[in-house]
Amino acid sequence: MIRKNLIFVGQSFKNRDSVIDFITMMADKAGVLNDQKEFIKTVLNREIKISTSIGYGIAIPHGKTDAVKDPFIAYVNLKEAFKWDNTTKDFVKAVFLIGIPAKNTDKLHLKVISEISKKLINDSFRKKLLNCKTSENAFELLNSINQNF
Amino acid sequence: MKIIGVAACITGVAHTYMAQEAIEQECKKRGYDVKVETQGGMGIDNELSEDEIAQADVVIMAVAIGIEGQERFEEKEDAGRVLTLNPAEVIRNPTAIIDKAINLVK
Repeated sequence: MIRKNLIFVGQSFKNRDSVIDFITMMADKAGVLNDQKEFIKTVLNREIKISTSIGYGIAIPHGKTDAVKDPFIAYVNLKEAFKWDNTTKDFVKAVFLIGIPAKNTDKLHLKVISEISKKLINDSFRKKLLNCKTSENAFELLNSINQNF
Repeated sequence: MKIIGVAACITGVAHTYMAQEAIEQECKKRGYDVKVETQGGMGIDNELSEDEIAQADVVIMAVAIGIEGQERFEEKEDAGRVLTLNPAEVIRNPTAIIDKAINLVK
């Protein structure tokens, strides 16, 4: 679920679509996607329904589609926050992009995603995560949740 | 104060469980009894019993889709004790939402 090669700390992006494009490209490189274009389309359609900026400087764009081969959570910590979209006033500093296959997703994977999501509501965990200076540190922190199952 | 709730979002992977956590965290902070049922990708978890529903002071429906067993809450609905909102709202501002919920009791 949590992969070292899908965690990026200190990246610079100017807007939502460019960060989603970047992560999707890296996810494809990591071999977890069947179809990059289709995945982006699903994720953006989900954003149109309702913004996935949750407040707290975090957005969690996600797509549940056949375009995903293996479930994954990618994390990008931005060098500078940017305004996520026009439906909220939120500035986003951290982005989690979640990909889930449309069918037959292992419950364990869903459990990991739900536990990480819950942790983001926790003030001290979130601070710890946002303060991670390297991708390695962020990976260790996120993976520690992954390993509890 | 006994607060119960149901959380269910469109995709059923993240918001459902974040809303559950946000409600539970805020209620525990205040010393309230709390239980939140989730209806998501993993099915129904933490299911509310008839007794738990009957005894609740307030019900928070953090739902973006139709849920299973909506009829269980009809009596509470009639009594004006149900607060319905989008999961994103309670994630964003749990303090304000719980305030609003307990106002239904007063």
